[in-house]
Amino acid sequence: MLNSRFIYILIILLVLLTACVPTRELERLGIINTYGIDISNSQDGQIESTLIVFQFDAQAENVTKTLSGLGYTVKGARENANTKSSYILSPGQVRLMLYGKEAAEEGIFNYVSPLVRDARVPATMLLAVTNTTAKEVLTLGQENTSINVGQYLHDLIEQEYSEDLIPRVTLHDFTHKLAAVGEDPILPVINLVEDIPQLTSIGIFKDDKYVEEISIPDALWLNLFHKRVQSAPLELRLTREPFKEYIQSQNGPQSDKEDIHIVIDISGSSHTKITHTDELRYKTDINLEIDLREFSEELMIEDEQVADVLEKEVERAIKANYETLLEKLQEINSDPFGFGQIYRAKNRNSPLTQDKWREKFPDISVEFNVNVKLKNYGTVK
Amino acid sequence: MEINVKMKSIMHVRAFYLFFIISSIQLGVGVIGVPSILFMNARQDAWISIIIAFIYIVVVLLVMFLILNQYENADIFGIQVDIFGNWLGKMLGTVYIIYFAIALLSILITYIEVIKVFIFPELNNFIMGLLLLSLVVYTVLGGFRVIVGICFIFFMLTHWILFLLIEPALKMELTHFQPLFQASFTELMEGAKSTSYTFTGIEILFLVYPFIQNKEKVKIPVLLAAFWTMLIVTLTTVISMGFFAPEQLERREWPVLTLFKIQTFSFIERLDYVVVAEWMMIILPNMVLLMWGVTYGMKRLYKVPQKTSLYLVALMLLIGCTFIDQHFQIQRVINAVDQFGLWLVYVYPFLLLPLVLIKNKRRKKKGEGIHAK
Repeated sequence: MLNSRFIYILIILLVLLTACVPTRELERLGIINTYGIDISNSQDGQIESTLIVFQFDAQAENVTKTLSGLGYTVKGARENANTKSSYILSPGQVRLMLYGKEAAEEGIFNYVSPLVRDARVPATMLLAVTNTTAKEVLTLGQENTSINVGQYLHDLIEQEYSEDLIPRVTLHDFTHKLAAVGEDPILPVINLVEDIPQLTSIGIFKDDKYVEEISIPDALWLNLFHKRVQSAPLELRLTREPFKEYIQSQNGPQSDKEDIHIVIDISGSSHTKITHTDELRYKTDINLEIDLREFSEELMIEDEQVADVLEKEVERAIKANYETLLEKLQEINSDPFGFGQIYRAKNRNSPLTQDKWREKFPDISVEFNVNVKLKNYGTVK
Repeated sequence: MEINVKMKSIMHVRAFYLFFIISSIQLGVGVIGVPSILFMNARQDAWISIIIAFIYIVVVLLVMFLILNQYENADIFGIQVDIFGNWLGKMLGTVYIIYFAIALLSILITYIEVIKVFIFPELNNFIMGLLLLSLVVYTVLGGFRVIVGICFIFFMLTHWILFLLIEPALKMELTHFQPLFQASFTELMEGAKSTSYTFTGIEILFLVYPFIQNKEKVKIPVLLAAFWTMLIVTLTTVISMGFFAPEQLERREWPVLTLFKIQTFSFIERLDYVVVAEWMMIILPNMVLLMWGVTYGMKRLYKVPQKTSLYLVALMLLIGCTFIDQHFQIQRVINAVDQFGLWLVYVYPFLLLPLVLIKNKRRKKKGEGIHAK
């Protein structure tokens, strides 16, 4: 008897207590979709944040709204932006965070760590830097793209990622690489081309500072270094000489050129190990399977010999690409490959620090051992 | 007071359920924070510390079995009265009761803090405490067999969470574990010691033992439960260590909950919210068992009706959890429980064992048999 009375009390309590948690109706919320962070030039080092916000209001004709605010902290700038809106801004669904060039060059650690501290900010949001201010990209982009610019940019990066062309950089990935000793983070770079935002390159960071950019094709080499790549399209330049006798139109219009271009789909993975710890010598094995898609000049693949020549030339081209990329990175002394991580894992004597690795990284030598197998070449021999 | 507990056969449960009782009470709020504490002590060799801790726990469990086997059907309250006499024995029994009550409080306030950080920052402690405690009171009113049922059901209902760890497990970096075997012996021991709060709970065996029907089969389920807990703690620690950079893991408050933040499905974007809510099902058996321990102890020692002490303790806990709402206060309570538990759970049985053995030998000499008054 007492038990059933207890259940009644419990049910009544449950009904009454629902009022004790603050309600958040969707119609009263401004759901932040994209964040842009710049250093404001008008005030003393204040942060200017630009927000693309969704508002689900039956009376509003446009669901998205652009807001901006100033503050000394990321949250402060958001609160300031909130004074210009009648909605409660909520960060639970942020999809993309854009950092302006100036802010990124000064270091973005202080703008990233508050996102981690707040448990309600999703860890899967994407980060990117812009080559102008983030505000410009977001406001001009909003005018010139027909859809919500935040969603547009997010999809832009997501699509390149889904083709395995660039490494995926979520908030977690970025903070992970940033904190890890012996590895530097990277972020995609968004640029305005004729006032339309585009993904133009990949930004290389030195700690939390944006220092250099590499092309999108180069980003594929980074991606291949870290993970298994599944049929990523790639345009490669090969020397024409070895293919001379297999080219169909011997005296065609392009016969005086030195290079030919081919398009291949590459799948495969890599494995890196340190061979001599003291001399900082590494060996990277890259095993690839390629599918031929297109030539700039028609090639006849009659027998295996042609395939062998092709495989060898592709191997050489990829190896050369890796070597130039590494050289460039050693010059700016930033290690997005994570060679330092491998060194740290094998170095038993003293714990590696970021500074020590910066001294060592320019001196490392890597032997890239590329192994290519031709799988298919389509329907024409 | 009776040393051996006289039990109606309807109150008995089978030894098989001990697996769920022990693993339910061991897994709780400790798991969500233990990877970073372990990592701070033993760095990348933290997994070795867990194994050391597990071996130690197995030894403690064997000692507990040995103590319990000296009596026909006694629990810790009876044994202590038998060894130390009425007055001192009851006092030591009270120590157990207080320990259970503070452990319960620490779970309650930690979980409320997690909810406040992850989901509702404006939530009132009093209300959350009231809701959780009414669930606890309701369950404990059902009696021991209902409590065992709760442990069984919530064990089944919560372990699907492990599947959500697949995605973070795929993002692990194996270099974080290298170079292997860098921690010194003392660091490994410190690491093992820091798991004590997570692994406590085995002391409930001292209380539930008289309720077991087939006592000859007690060992396997209990050891399996301890093994299961060790497995889950190892799993979460290893995944956290691989998933976070070392410098990140050190600074995370609840790394295990953060692991769930990268898992998304098309129908639920933020699974960490679901997991935080789901965690209530993990801590509920925990709190229920401890509450039962408190009330049952009061009944055994002082003949206080279980209902009276249940309501009274619930009220006191409600007041406690309303006022302890600052992070560092909560940490202080956890540390107190940790220290308290370290002595009571992991050291005390070793002190008790020789006394019990000596007493038993003497009794046999006198020819009184084991049915001593």
